[in-house]
Order: sequence, then structure tokens, then C-alpha cells
Amino acid sequence: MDDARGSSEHDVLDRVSDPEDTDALVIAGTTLSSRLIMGTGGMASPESLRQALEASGTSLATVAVRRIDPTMRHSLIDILDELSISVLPNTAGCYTAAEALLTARLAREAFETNWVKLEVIADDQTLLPDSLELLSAAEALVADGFTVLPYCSDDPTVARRLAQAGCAAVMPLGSPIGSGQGILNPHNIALIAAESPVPVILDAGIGTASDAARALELGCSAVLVASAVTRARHPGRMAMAMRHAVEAGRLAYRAGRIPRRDQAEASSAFDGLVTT
Amino acid sequence: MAGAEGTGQSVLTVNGQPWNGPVPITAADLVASVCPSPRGIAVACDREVIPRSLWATTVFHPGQVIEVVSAAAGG
Repeated sequence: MDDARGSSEHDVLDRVSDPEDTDALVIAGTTLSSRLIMGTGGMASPESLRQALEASGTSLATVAVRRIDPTMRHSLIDILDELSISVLPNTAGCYTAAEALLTARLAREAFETNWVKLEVIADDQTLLPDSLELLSAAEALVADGFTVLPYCSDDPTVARRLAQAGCAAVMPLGSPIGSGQGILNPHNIALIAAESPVPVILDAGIGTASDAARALELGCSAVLVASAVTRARHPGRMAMAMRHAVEAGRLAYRAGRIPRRDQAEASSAFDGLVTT
Repeated sequence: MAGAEGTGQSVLTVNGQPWNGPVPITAADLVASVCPSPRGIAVACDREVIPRSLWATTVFHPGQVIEVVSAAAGG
């Protein structure tokens, strides 16, 4: 027997996992090394963003498309490049399919990627997706050769329609963007994950690490985290917590949780019990 | 909107502002004058994206509406 105290975490993992089984996340034929996708908005400084991205272990991060700011000294693209993190442009701030299409096409030209996190929001109070504009934009972008990852409501029917439209993944919200309320309708998220033919990425609403773990436990393939990290008191620490949470949640999902029971069930045998 | 008061038709608009530089101007020259580097930049004219390969030969004229964009932090 190995001395357990001398075993690293990875030695233990080797014993419980099949080395042939990499459990990789594949989206549109591309393998992602992490199930944590990071947003980049809301960070106090480029340096703390860099630290958080590094601590998160992510391989994919979102950026917004905005009019150029000639005074900007730090290029976000350069930071992502240095960390070997792929760019996932978003269409944040778009209210119509037409706006989202132009933004996605600008992003494709600027960042030389066909991938787009498609956001079409209904209003600036709730930031909830406009499902009808979203579906229309998704269909147009798929037809134009984009790999479309739509931010959508937690409605299983909307998710199904988006997958049928040719989206490479679906990104249902846990709760409103930036709200930190976690997953308000776990039943719907589990339903979406159970029936989706494409990866399900929980997007929006994650407040802390347990929310991210729960998304994976419910069957989501990945999570996107932005505000929960960038607005945390210590973004680097929260990024690392999210990294571990996503790994733990995925392991737990694959391990198969025990069913919930109404009554206790002893785990110690009663045979041989010392009685008086 | 400064450019919209009577002279809107005769002004080249760049990122919502009247363009004070020379006109006509190529997309390449416009990018060079507003961006430190052309990397990670895209340009649209009247809501149509101008591919990078056409920047040198695409000329912008007064009355057109130009957007020059890059990456910004975002969720």
C-alpha cells in the first residue's frame, strides 16, 4: 500500500479514473481543456484580470466588441494571447437580430474567429434574452458559417429550438446577468441538459463556487462566469475556487449522486453491535 | 450630434463623431490614424463590414458612417 500521506491529489485521481477516458469538452469539433469559460467584464485592472484568468485555468474567454478607445493602453487581445486563451466574442448590448449580426461579423473580422456568444437582450433592466430575436439571429449566423453559442432563457423549448437551428451549444441563464442569485430553476436546467444534443453551458447568475459546481452536477457541460469572479473581493482566489468547483461538479455528476430519501439510512452495519 | 445639424450629409462620421481629418480617406489610413495597431480591429461602412484585405483600396467619402471597433472587456 502507498503511504496515503505521500500521495498527491493526482495519484489518487489516477486510481479512480481511466487514463484513456479524458472526459474532454468538445464544442463544434474543438476540444476545450477547461469546463470554465471566463467573462472579462467588470475587472478593476488589466493586471487583476490577467491574474484571475490565469488562476481560472480557462481556455476560452469572452470579449465585447466596442468602438475603439484610442487612449486604451492595454490590449485585451494581447493578454488573452499571452495566456493562450481563445477569444469568444459576444454580442452584448444588442437588442435586435440586425445589431447582433453586424456585431458578430465585425468580431469575425477583428478576431479571426467564427465563434460567437450570441446575446440579444430584451431590455436593459432585466438583461433577459429576447428569445424571438435570438432565434432569428442564430439562424442567420449559422447560415453565414458562424459557430453560434447563444445566451438563452432557461426554457427547454427555446434551448431545443436553438439546437435545431444549428447552434454549437446552448447557454441558458441560471438567473439574471450579474445578479449572483445562482440557479433559480434547477429543474429546467437539468431538463435542458438531459435532452440537449449539443453542450449546455450555464451562463449568467453564478454567485459563488457552489453555484458552478451545481451546474455541472445538474448535467451542464460547462459554465461561464464573469461578475462572480471579476467583482469578487479577491478575483484571483474566486477564479481558482470556480476552477475547482467546476472540476468537482463534473466529477460528482459522473460519479452519480445517491438518490434523495425521506428517511435516514444507516451506513454502519448493525451486525456485531456491542449492546448492554 | 454635431454633424447632424444641417451638414449631416456632407460629413464623414467615424464612431459617432464628425471626422476632422482629411477626406476622402482609405480604410487603411483611417485605421492607422485612430488605432495604435491594426491587430484586433474591424471596420464597417454604412453597417457593412469591410474585410481587412480591402482596407487599402476602400475609400470613404463624406456622408458615410464608419465604425472602427476592437475588443473591450465584457461578459
